[in-house]
Amino acid sequence: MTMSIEGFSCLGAFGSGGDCLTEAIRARHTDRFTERTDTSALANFFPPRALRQCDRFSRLAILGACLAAQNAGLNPTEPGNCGIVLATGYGSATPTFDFLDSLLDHGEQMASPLAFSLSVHNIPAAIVAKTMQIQGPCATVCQYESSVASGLLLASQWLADKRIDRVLFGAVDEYTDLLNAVTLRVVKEREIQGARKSRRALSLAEGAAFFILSRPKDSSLGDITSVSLDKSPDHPDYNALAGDCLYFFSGAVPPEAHGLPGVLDGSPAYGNIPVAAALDLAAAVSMLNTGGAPFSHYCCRNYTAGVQSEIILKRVKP
Amino acid sequence: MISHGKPVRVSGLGCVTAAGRNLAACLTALDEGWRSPRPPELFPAERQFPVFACDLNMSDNPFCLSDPAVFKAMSRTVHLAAHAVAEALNDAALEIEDLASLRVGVCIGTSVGTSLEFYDYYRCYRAGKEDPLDVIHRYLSSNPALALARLLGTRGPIQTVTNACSSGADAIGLAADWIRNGLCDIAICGGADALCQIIYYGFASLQLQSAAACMPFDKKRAGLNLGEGAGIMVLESTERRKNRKTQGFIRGYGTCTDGYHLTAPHPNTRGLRTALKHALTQAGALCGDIAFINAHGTATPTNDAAEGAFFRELFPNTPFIATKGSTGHTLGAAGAVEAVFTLAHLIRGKLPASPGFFEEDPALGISPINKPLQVEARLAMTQSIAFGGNNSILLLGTENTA
Repeated sequence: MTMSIEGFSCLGAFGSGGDCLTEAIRARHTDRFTERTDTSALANFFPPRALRQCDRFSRLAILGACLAAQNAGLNPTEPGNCGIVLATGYGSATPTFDFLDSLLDHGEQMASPLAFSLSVHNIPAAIVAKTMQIQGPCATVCQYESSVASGLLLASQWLADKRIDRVLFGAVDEYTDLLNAVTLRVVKEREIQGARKSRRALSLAEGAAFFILSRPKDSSLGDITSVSLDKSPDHPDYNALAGDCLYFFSGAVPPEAHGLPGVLDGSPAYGNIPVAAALDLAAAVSMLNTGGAPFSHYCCRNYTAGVQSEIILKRVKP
Repeated sequence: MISHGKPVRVSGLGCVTAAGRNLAACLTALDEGWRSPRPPELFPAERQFPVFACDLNMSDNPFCLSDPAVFKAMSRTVHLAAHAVAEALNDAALEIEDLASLRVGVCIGTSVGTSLEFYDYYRCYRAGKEDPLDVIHRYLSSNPALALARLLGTRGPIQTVTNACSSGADAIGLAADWIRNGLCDIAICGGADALCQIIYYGFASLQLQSAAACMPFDKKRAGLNLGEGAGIMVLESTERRKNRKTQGFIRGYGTCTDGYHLTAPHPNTRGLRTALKHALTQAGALCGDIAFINAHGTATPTNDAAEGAFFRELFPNTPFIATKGSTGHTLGAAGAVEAVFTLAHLIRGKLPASPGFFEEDPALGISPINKPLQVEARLAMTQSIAFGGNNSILLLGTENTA
């Protein structure tokens, strides 16, 4: 079903907000994406004490969620009849490694229960729910780069079934030194094996993008008209939208797509992040609403693990 | 507000736990009250909490037979899932080749299956050494839903749900929505999780594991035992399944967060009540239509107290069972394993005694059944309560009306 976007936010080394993201994409800021995301704006929403046990991943999630609610004109601490879907490529990695540190440093008997609790994949979504006082359905999906499309599919089902009036959909991944080191080792190995270069060859980055989604509304910032995940076709189709479409590929443009009239590579802004599709979507929403958008459709597509994920965003406002 | 929804047909069931390598064996073990957790053997542990490990033989798995190299490179969680998928497809009278021409969704819940289980790799990394990347490649090829879709060669939606201990129930509920809303013709759904060193240490750090065999709802309960396994259902659209055998129906699904605490349920089961309301509305049923309940029943003091209060108030006369005394807590698989059990109990009209329950806890004031019970019923409920305050309820039926 079609979902309207009532509000959105995006965070990363590029800064905060759609303007920062699109500007960084246009300026091709290839040197900034390894910087940590600034979450100091959380102080505008909650006293530090309220977030004292939150890990970095959860802070990214809470800030992204509050900014999206604010952008939609909702009260971030009481957004109403709302569900949460959180998409992530790897989940909250820092608490997992913190827990391993506690095991290695102090042994089984003194391992950290807090780090373990925070390492469970659905805890960031639960922390968002608790912090924003949301008591609706809450789900986390974790499947590398197809997480974003998968999570949006879930959100669309909840809205179609009228389980909820709105869905706070977010996508988050965080940077850790270990994951970055592993990523670069895997890339190097695949380069040796002849794999093509893409944003996956960049350093790992972190960031978040959140959207307030609802059933179709006139005031929409843009409508998500289609979300799909399927086995990658042998010959991908780029003609369905008759050229009136800007394509994003999570920063990994396939060779056959280079000749399309509209292709944008967001990787210089957001680096190598599994939930890049959500940042592509945020960039598309921003472009649609800052005037002079040359396309009426935006397609956020990626290929990973033999699966094609695709999200189509359509302009609503003239 | 969610409205009444069409029941979704269940055409196949599959299951593997420590209690048995297939559904029939698990049911026999439950009937016999089998419960025999053992010290962990898959990894070293200073503190020996008993666990329920599966006796898994990969060599007869059809996926292993068709592509051993790819299959063996995948994780134990995927192996467990694939084992149960093979049984469920067989039960549904479907061949893997049948799936190629259909829209087939794969929706799997897991907890361990997406965890960054890099303990040894991390130890080397900290020491400044480079361990081989094998564990990383295994992780990257073993996201449960993606891996199963690859093994099955399916075309359709793919989702790995990571809602901790409600993941398996959620995956079935979400996949039922896919069928109801026409996203696919068939959905292969459920949950899977393997025993894992890090999770074992984690539950030990939370002091939630029992040093003896677990005793759900018992006065002397002292915590949970970890387990592993997988539960899988094959769901099919009504049109596709016309004139073919049907095992039962997904009648309703509800899920809601407590927004209360990271690792403990809301004492008044706030989220569980909302989940129940939504599941009943979707099923077009009332509490009184539910013949029996499968409790989450982890045997931790807080979980069983919260569930006990919920049953005492809303289902004071409805029999309920808890099966983790025979399987252990299989985490992301549990909701699916127990949904499979619940439908199987409905089909055969018989409930086993709750393994590990011996003595009523006066503080709870309510007990699971402690003797086998014949039931002639059309609707049953299974509930899952998870870390993060997730609560999920599935209503399962043998007929497509209440």
